[in-house]
Amino acid sequence: MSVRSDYDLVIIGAGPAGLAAAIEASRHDLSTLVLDDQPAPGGQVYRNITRNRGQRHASAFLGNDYWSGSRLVDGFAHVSANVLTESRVWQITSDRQVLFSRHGKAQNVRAGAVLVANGAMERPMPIAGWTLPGVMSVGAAQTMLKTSGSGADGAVFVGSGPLFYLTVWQYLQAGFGVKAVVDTAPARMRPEHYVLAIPALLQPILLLKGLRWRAAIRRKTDYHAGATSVVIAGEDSATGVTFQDTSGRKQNIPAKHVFIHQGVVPNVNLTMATDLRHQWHPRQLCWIPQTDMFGESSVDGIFIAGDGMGIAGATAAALSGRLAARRIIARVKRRPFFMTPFWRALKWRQAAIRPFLDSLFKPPDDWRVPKEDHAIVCRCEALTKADVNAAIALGVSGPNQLKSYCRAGMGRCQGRMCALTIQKMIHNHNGGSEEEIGYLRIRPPIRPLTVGELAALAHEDAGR
Amino acid sequence: MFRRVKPQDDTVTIYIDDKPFLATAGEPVANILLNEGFSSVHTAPNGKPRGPYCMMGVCFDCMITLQDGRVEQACQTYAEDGIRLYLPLNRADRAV
Repeated sequence: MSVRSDYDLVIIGAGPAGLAAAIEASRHDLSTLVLDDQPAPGGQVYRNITRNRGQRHASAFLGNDYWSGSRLVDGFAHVSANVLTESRVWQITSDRQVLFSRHGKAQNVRAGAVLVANGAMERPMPIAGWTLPGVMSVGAAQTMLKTSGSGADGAVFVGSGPLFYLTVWQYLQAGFGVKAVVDTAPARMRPEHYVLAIPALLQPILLLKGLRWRAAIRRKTDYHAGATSVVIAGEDSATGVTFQDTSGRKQNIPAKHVFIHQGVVPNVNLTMATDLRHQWHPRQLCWIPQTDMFGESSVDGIFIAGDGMGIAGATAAALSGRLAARRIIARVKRRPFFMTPFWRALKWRQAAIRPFLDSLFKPPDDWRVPKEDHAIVCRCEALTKADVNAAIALGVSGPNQLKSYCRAGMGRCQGRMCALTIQKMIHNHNGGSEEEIGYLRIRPPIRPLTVGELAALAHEDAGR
Repeated sequence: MFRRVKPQDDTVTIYIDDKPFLATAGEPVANILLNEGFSSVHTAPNGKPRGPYCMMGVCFDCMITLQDGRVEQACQTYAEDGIRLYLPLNRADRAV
């Protein structure tokens, strides 16, 4: 496949949103390039599906929602788009050049329109001991199931949320021994949860699925509801989990593997680095890019689809990918655009369950910032809560000033694992609104880049 | 320790600190590290060991060194026959 220097559309990410958009664009003969950091399409949700299908019975434990991704991946197999796997995008310029690295070499392409479909990431869960080897995110445990069919016996799962229950359920289906499940969601639903559950009834299948997972987990594991004050113990690796149960008793469960999770948030590093306008989502407690209903951002020709524009799940992501593609097709072909009311209704129905889920699994304030002073907040720079608070006490207006005081957020992950925590810590100290305190200022490149990688770009330009 | 419940296909050999290990072609190298019991990979600025955490390229706690000296995320590096990688934790210079 030869890569051109410009395309009508460059899609970043081959998850449900990116795949659906590529299929739609291909139907209308848009020249399209799809860039994805994995070796095969699927995104995180349908990860490794093309290979797993070859031995489907051996991966049956992943469940029907996973296999439903087959339709998108099959459709994608026939698109006319160019596809570059193992490509990591590190900058989009305002004139829509997309810069990325592949196999240690930087490249760039020009795009008539860019669709950012880079999805979500797990919200940081900064509890004491979360940096110990042996502690991983629940999403990481699930990725191991999808990419290697491997898991760890005797693990303790700590957290809550749809992905949390799904992954424990998959672990049980696969036959791994789950030592305990420490559920951090409130043990009883509060009145507001019941109110929000009413619109959620538009999604009865999703609700039933969640109830079924939770029932299976209660039945088959050492299950603790309403846990608080969770700490992971260990010196050089995890040795156990301690927490307080609903009766106020302290519990201690020894474990070498601990999987933690408190929901997902849009992965905004790329959209932030592109200087798109973002807003604080007070219900989902995260930043989302500002878009119109078709996903067009505040910068002309740059669109967003999928969980990167707000968490709504895989089905909604595919719909938003198709919608954005339709809008982009109209733009490229200079045709008027009418939004299909049917899709709009579908999308609206998909969104109906979110307020309920967002509120039931909303991380309480004392989960967003660790309780213990020695707990690490910024993983890259190994800064504790006490370190960061000492800098905040000097007087900072926001996360950017804090960087120069203590380096929090200046490591390799570029704030992905600490920015939301730091923002909340400054908010706790300074008061005001979280939106005003703001996120770290993210600048391109959004991943570490070597001079050697960049040099490839100069060669390429000289050759043109 | 992690174990596989699925048969491996398309098996290749990769080298971790010069010791050979079997892997599935295209599998993230971080998976092989965890499957083989290497839960600590590099050293954090506070001198404490760290290992793979997110498995999707966001946490940067699975940093490894490749044969050509490039420092990469193990979860974003995919197994190919004969590749060699080194754990910064075990290197005297602790280049990472």
